[in-house]
Amino acid sequence: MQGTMTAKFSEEMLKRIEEILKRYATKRAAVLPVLYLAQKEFGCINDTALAAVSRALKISRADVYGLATFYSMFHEEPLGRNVIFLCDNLACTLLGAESLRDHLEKKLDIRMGETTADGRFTLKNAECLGACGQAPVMLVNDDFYEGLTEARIDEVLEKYK
Amino acid sequence: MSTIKITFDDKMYETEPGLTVIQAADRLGVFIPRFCYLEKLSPLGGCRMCLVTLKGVPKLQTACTTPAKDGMEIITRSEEIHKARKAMLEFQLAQHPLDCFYCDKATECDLQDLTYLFADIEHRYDFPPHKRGTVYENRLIERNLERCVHCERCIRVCGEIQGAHAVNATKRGRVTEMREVPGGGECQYCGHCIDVCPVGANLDRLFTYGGRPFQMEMGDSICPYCGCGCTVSLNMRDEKLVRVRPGVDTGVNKGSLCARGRFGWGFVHDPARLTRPLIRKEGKFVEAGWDETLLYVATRLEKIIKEKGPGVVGGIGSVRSTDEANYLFQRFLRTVIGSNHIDSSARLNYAAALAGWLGTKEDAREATFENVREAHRVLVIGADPLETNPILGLAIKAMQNRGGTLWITDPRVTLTTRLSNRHFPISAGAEVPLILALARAGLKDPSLSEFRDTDLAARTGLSSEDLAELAAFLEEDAAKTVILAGRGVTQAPFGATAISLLLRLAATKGASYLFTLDKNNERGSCEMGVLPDRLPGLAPLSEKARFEKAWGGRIPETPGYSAYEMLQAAREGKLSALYIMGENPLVDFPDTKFVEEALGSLDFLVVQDLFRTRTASMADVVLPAASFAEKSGSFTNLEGRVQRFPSLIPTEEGVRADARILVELSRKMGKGFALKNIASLRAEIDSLVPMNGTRRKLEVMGPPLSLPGAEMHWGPGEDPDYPYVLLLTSSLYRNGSMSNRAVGLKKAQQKACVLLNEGDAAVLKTGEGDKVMLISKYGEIQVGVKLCHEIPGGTLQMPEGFSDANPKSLLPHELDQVSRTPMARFVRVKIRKI
Repeated sequence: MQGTMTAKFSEEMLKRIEEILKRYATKRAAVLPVLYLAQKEFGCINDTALAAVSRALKISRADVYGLATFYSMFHEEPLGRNVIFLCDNLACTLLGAESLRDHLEKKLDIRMGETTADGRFTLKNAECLGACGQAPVMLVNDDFYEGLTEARIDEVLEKYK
Repeated sequence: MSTIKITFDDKMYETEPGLTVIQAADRLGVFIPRFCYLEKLSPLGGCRMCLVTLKGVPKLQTACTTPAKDGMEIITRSEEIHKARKAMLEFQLAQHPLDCFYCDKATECDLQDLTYLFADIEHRYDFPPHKRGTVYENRLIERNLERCVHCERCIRVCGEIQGAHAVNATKRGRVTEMREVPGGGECQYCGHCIDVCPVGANLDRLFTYGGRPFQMEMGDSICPYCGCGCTVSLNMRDEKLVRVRPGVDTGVNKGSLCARGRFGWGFVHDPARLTRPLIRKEGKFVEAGWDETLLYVATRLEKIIKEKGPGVVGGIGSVRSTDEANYLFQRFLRTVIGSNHIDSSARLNYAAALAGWLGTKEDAREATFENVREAHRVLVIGADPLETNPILGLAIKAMQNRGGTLWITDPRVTLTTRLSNRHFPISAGAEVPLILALARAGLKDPSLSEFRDTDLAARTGLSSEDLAELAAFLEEDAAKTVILAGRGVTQAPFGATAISLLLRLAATKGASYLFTLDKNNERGSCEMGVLPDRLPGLAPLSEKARFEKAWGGRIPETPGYSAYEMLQAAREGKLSALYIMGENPLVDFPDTKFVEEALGSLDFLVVQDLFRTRTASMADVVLPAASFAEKSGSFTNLEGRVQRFPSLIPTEEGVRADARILVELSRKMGKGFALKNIASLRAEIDSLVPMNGTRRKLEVMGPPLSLPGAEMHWGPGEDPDYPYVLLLTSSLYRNGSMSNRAVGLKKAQQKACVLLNEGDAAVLKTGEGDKVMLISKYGEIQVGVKLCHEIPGGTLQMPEGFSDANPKSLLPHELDQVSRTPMARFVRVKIRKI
């Protein structure tokens, strides 16, 4: 495949990978944290990211790919600058997650799974975020928001440019 | 050995310990259904079809993951078990497209068979089957995602046996898909996933709609490609080959095949196959009848012999043809023509190894595939078995899977160096000084005292610590150590001497050895006497009396020319006629320009081949020969195993097997061989070269080999005009004439590229996909660039077997003074951007 022999991480990332590898008995075991770094560096888990992880850990690209496609927080396509994960499991749905989804879709003018034209937001559904007591909930990047209402969402989104 | 007692369905059995329940059941003939379990793979316990009851255990257990223990009572048939297995099948069928009518797996499908067995399966799920379709990302293997039963046999066989890890379960969950990475590039096209698939999810794209089993004839043969000699099952429909599969766990390959074996058969029915003899008349080829052509050949040869004597006629036998044809070829040259100028392209490899073996007094143990699988240590010197002999490569992987260690010394970056536990990147052409250093450490031979360890270390490019570790590697656990050597050694100056030292080392330490052989009958052609100085059974010419008696003719006393000496003699006008059987020197021999000039200087050139090769295009007469599938005989594999195979496809009108052509030509020349059929030919060979089990009894010796001088230099040296060193590599997808005509292998890889370091590419201002000219002192070629971070700066790598690129034209043909083998592993080049 074109370019797969030359794809690699930046020097800084390679140093961080070295650190990660110290925590594991085998290189293969470090694949998840290294995939996170790859997503940071390459924006998503594309061909280049797969090749770089494969090269750094000496495992096949197909093995990395199998893993990356299982976890919903690894993405094959580039995402917006900010990613909203709205929970759509039972407790959240009972407490109005469906109407919140409609609100978000309307407000951002995108459908679930899409990215706004300006690249500011990607909207994704999440399986249970593990906070049913505070439903409905959402995650924006690494920040967690609970007890959501339409007004609260409008307020929160202002923080993310 | 102790046994254990276990009970299946109230019947007591005795069996060996250490098995799982399903293994014990299989050995005892107790039926347990399964999708995911396969003896050669690690157990998965995924399909839940092998559920059984263990007395005293409340829930059903998977027979494939439960160890069989002494006293265990197992129920394989009950209402509960039947219900559970049926439920699993119901799940499978709810997702399955039920398109058996046009599925290539139909009638050979485990899902069909088990559904038939359970018959009364309900269909309670009405959710629509998930539409996943079929992916054609792999050019040779179709992946039908809807038929898949998620047994993961393909994933495990690809990882555990082939070591490619090219297939994996993606999007795990209800919609799991067995996929390759987008864009592919990791598949080695062994096709093992096709064989192990219990349903029609992995299919052979060369075969698509090729026929139902009852419409096909199937027969076992021996693969014509490399020295492994794998057993292949040829599937024919209407007398045409439609598919090749491995024999069912038989032969040296035990159910595995490589890309060449499985997908490389396309040459057999290539429309370019020759079907009529051709005679050159006034510069143009004219089709002619066999009788006319053979009479013409006989007349021309007789005229040349009459005018100039038999010493101006030579023959190049075939490393692709049978033992029997090669035997007849040398008999024809020796007794009908009266010349010892006989050689083959085995000169490029095995002949040098043979010279080393003949020159060794000590009796080193030759390894088998089984020895390699069971070894603890394998040391590879100057070979790339994963590309040249892929099934031997699998034996090495099996050795590693059992905890064994692979060390390799190679200046190149290859599949085998990537697989190795440790790679010693020696300098280009440093195999011989490396072996000298190992011999000095291990043999305590005073004749080696003139070499200095520091000099040798400097020449290998390794540190003295590395060399000491390599020497120590051979000291321990020698009975379970195998040394593998290949063309890196045999194509080096004093390669034969180095082989001899390696064999002495192996014998002294108790290790065993094996040579990697690129071509399927290199060994057989040599053992049949297609050598200028050896008769069948490798008998020296001094023993010629017994052969003269058997053959009823005189054999010349003095050894003849080797391959390149014949070519040199042709250039000097000392050789007038050459008979080439199944070889293509213009493509397969180094220094194309030299070969072309030599062949052009001949008065008379006969080429016997399947195709009008570049060499055949220069001939005066071209004789259309039969392929391996259309003739019977034996091939001798790299272990020395003589393996017979039958003719499975009738030859086309106008095509004849090599042996038959030689017998008829001998008659036309008035000295006809008294041979009625292949059986009488075999009887004659067996009477002259006795067998020892499956191998030939070879109790012969040759002259001891001289050592190089201590000042000897190896490697490409320095030359500012040609700043890069091009190292030639082997390719799984091209290793000669047949592979270059095989549509399947062309799909696997279309073109050769030259691998270039990123730094060098930046200096040259060239990038991936660009075209460059590689120019050596001997020739120039045009080739595409591929970047590779593993290759050191100043070094290039390129596979040698692609005939359109023909990198062999860049090579010199300097011969080793002992083995007369050309040095053909590397050459200095310069690069020009186009």
